Amino acid sequence: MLSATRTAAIIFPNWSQIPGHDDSDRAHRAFEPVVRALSSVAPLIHVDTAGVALLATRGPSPYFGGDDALGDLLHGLCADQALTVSHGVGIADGRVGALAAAHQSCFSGSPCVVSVGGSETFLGLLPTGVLGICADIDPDTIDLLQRLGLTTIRAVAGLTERELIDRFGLLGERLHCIVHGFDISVLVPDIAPIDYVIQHVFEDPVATSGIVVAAMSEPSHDLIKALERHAVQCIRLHMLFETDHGEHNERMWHQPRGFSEAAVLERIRWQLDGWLGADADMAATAGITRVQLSPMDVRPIDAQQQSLWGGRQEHIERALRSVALAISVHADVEITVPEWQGGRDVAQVFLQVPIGSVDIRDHVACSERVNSGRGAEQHWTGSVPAPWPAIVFSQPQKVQLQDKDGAMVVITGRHELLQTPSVLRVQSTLLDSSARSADVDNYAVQQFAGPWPVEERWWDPMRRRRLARLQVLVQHPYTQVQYLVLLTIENRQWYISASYD
Amino acid sequence: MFATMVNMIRPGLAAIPISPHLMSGRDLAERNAEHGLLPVNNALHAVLPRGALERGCVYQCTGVGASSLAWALVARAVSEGSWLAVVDVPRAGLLSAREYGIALERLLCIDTSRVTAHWSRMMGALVDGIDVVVTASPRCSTADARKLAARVKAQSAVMVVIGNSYDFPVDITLRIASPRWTFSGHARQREVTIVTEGRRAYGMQPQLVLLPQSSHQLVQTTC
Repeated sequence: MLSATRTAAIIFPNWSQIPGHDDSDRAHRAFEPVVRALSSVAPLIHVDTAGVALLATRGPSPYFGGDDALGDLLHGLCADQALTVSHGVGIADGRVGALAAAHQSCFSGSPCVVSVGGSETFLGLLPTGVLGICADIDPDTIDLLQRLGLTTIRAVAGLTERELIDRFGLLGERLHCIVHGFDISVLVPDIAPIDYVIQHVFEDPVATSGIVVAAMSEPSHDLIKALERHAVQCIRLHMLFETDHGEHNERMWHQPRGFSEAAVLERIRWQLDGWLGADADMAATAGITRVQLSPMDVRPIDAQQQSLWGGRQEHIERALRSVALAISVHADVEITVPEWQGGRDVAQVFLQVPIGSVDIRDHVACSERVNSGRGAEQHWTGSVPAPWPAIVFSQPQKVQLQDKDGAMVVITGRHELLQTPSVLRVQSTLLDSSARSADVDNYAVQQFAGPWPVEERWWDPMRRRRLARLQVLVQHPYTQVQYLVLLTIENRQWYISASYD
Repeated sequence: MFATMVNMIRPGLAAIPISPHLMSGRDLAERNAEHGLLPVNNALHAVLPRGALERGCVYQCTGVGASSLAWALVARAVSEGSWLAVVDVPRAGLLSAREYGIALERLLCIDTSRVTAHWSRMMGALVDGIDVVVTASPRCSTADARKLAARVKAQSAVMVVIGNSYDFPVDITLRIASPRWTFSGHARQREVTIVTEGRRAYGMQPQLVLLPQSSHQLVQTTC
């Protein structure tokens, strides 16, 4: 059994929540300066997601005077980036231990160094959920472990290897290694198998990343296809760029669910943009002459992704082709996919994210994207009850809700209706898209339910909001058709926010 | 016993449509695959001429409740693996879609408001690879509409139009009439009458359907 390499992990746990880092492209580009600063400590930095970087300490540690000194140095480097986000530095044997130590260090505010051989004890005290964050174990397995009563990693370590393999298969073997501190991911790369190393040499030095990406699109495609023929996917990819003046820039990219061609090209772009566009002292001084991609670690392709007729993979491929075709018709077409955000406002529960920024081949990521947290649906306190409206207005339209005397219906501070709603004055087209005239009609209120009040940020006088929702069933004066709508009152003005079409 | 009788007479009488209620799940799936059908929720069997969504057909849902009916119509097909493209329905309530059983990870939302001149070509590109396409306002010339309908048929996709079809050639129209909501504290569900119109819908009676049922499935009441 390999003993794990001593690793340092540097994490910024809230990297993607920083304003401006909302999509992965921007988050990675913003992370580039940090990675460049780190590369002054060690030549090869491993990057998984934006905000997480790892490096092997075998070289730097003795040079800087030990793990503690190295930890302080890295911590200082991160603080120097003048970012007000929390960060953490952890040093331990193996990747999982280092990431867990780094999370610990975020809380404590100083670097966390786990002694050699102490990973098992250190991890043992942590809850099982840590395996999901630090070891890329999927959430369903974590949920199962917790429901089986194994809430700490020490409890999982108490199971024998045979029991884990019986229950979880190959994943069980991996779990066994991790909980005993033998994280077998290798940070110091071995030499990659020669057949799969892709190298591209440019006769003329290239100074823009776009040209490099375009040139590398076919070689990357060939690389992924070659690996697929052996039924494996690349998990870690080593990327090396060399300029005319002999400068090197290398990075190890990590993608636990396997690299697709689009992912490889994205990372080429991020790494190059960061290097070519850097400040004077760290930027490349000449054009790129050589690009080398070496897959360092592979894993068997997920059995479910085998292309069966009518299978999931075939549907995904066809959908991707359609999307590409639709975009090629005209670039201005907007194709988006929903991402769950949550909230009380029915119009804002899902955010539309451009399709270019997600990888729809990754069905695990897709289902995580649309689901609200782990496991069962969580009821958002204060939201309107189910069933949900089929039409939601992201820009609520003004309407008038009156009682039988024509006065506006008002909701008191105690969330009570002062009058009984009797007439709703609203534009017909808002309720019924096939209405012929856009006139404002008087709809008779048949029934209503609510109000469901919302008080947002009551502590902040500038941004506080008080509003209430009311479900109203109205009937058209002439056609007698019934419509159910959701109205909102805010600042003494009624709006229509959704329609139950 | 009834099922074996059905199996015996089926080879010779293949042309007679057998009600989906009488077939076992596996036979149903085979029949769907053979005849180019996409499955649909049990409560909507009686509303569709062949008890399922026919590939290559253009459906229309109109009336108050058309959006919900559209979700209900495509929900089972999407949950069994088909992808869904929703074109030009900017106000689609996705929570409601999910409530009807639509798997949101296979949903694509497309907005062609900036490229209306290329609408039919866009739709053509989408029906090529995506099984179910839902749209709200089909606007194109008659010639383009005919070509698009032909392409839908050629690619065995299903197109659903919500609301007015603006002269787009539609095969089957599901018209919702007289929705009646029941309140119990707040609105819970509604009873709607669905009338099926179209050239394959001879002799189909209006059906009473509940949208949605409390366990998020559709339930059909006797008419």
